[in-house]
Formats: sequence, structure tokens, C-alpha cells
Amino acid sequence: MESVKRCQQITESHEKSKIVRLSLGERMSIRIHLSICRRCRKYFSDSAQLDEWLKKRFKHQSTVVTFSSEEKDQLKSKLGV
Amino acid sequence: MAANEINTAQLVDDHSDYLLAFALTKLSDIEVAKDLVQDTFVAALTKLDTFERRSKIRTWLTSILNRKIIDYWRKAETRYTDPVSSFFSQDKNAGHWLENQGHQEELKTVLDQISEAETIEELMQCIDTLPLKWKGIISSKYLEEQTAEEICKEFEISSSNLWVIIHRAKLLLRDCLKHKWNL
Repeated sequence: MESVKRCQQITESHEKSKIVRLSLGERMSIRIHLSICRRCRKYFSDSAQLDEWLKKRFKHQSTVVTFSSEEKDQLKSKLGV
Repeated sequence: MAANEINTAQLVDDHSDYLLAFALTKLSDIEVAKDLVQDTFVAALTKLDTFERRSKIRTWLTSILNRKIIDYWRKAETRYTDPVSSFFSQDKNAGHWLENQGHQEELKTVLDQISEAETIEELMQCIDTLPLKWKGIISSKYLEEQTAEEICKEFEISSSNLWVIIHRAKLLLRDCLKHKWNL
């Protein structure tokens, strides 16, 4: 029986597997489910893609916001310098 | 005192931009981030004598800032409901995720059409739509590469909570990207 709930469990277990080691039973049930569920296979692929982008996104932030020198001076005077 | 005064100014010059960049990985609002960095310096100066030179001063400042960010989340978090991806939607009108996805492209298929830099830019906008705490967790995981235990401790969540949040956050990010690309 395929249901949203089952797919939710399977895709959630997939994220779990990236953090802790799954039991043999869990790994087996994922494998079996994946062999018959295209949507979950897509999720697995998308999850890996998101991991890759998220790592890159945080590695080089494209917009760098800094304090202006006035703001730094304000901060310094607030700190009693 | 003269030595101390130089230190303070130097502290701001050396670390304020770094701290702001750090805060912005966890917060969406620039003004809030700037305020928290200011608060961090104020708190740091009052506690300067307790600073033990076992850690780098930047690390120490970052840990103060981090606690301030967490406090901010706690306050901001009091009223919100977790967003839910259409993946879980039981509402018939919203469409069953198994049936209502005529265009079942995988995310990576867009790479042929859109540059990766653009993609990451759009992903950033999507991350800003996540609940603050989730955004913080995602950035702790991917930017700081903290271990699962560290993240759970910092955010006071159980490890099962962690993967549930990562799972839901990814589904929302995927929805958001697909929406942007009309997939």
C-alpha cells in the first residue's frame, strides 16, 4: 500500500540516515520502497542536490554586508572609546 | 586604561564585520543582526575580565553572539506554526503530491538552463522564507558544519527532531525552487 504517509516515513528515514546509522530493517524497507516508488527516488535525488547547493551557498555568500565606518564609530562611542 | 581603550576600538575594527556576516547566516533581518552584534560588544566588554585566553577572542565573541541569536529566536518563535510542504498535504484541492505533479522534473535538471550561481541565489531567497530556527539549523549544519550533537544541544532539540526539521526544510526549499522555476 502506497500512501503519502509511507513516502513521508521513507524520505524522513533518508534524512535520518545522514545523521545516524539505520537498522538493517530500515535500510531494507527503504530499498524495497525505492524500487517501486518513483516519487521517493526523486526526493532522494533532490535531497542530494540540495545538500550540494546548500554547502556551496554557505561557502561563498554572494552579498557581503558590512558595517559602514560611521556605524563602527557610533559603536565605538557607545562602548565608551 | 589607554591600553584597554585601544583594544576596544581594535576589537570593533577587527571583528564587527565578521560577526555581522555570521549573524546574517542565521537571521534574515540586517537591522536585527546589527543590533545583536552591538549587544555582543557591549556584553563582551563587561565580561572582558572573565575572558580566558584559552580560546581566540573571535571565537569567544562569536559564542556570545550565538547565544544572543538563540535568545532572539526564542522570543520571535513564540507564535508561529510550522509551515507544511505540499508533499504532506491531505487536502484534495491542494492536490495529492503523488498525482498533482505533472511536471516531475528533478531539481538538477534545471542546471542545463540556469547557472548554478543563479540557482544558489534563488535558494538563498528560499532559505529566508523558512522559520528562523530552521534557518539557523540549516546554516549551522551547512555553513559551520557542526555535528548533529552540537546542533541538537545548541537548539535544544532531540536528534529525531533534527532530521524531521531537515526533512521538512528540504521539502519547503524544493517547493520554493520549483515554484520559482514553474516546474
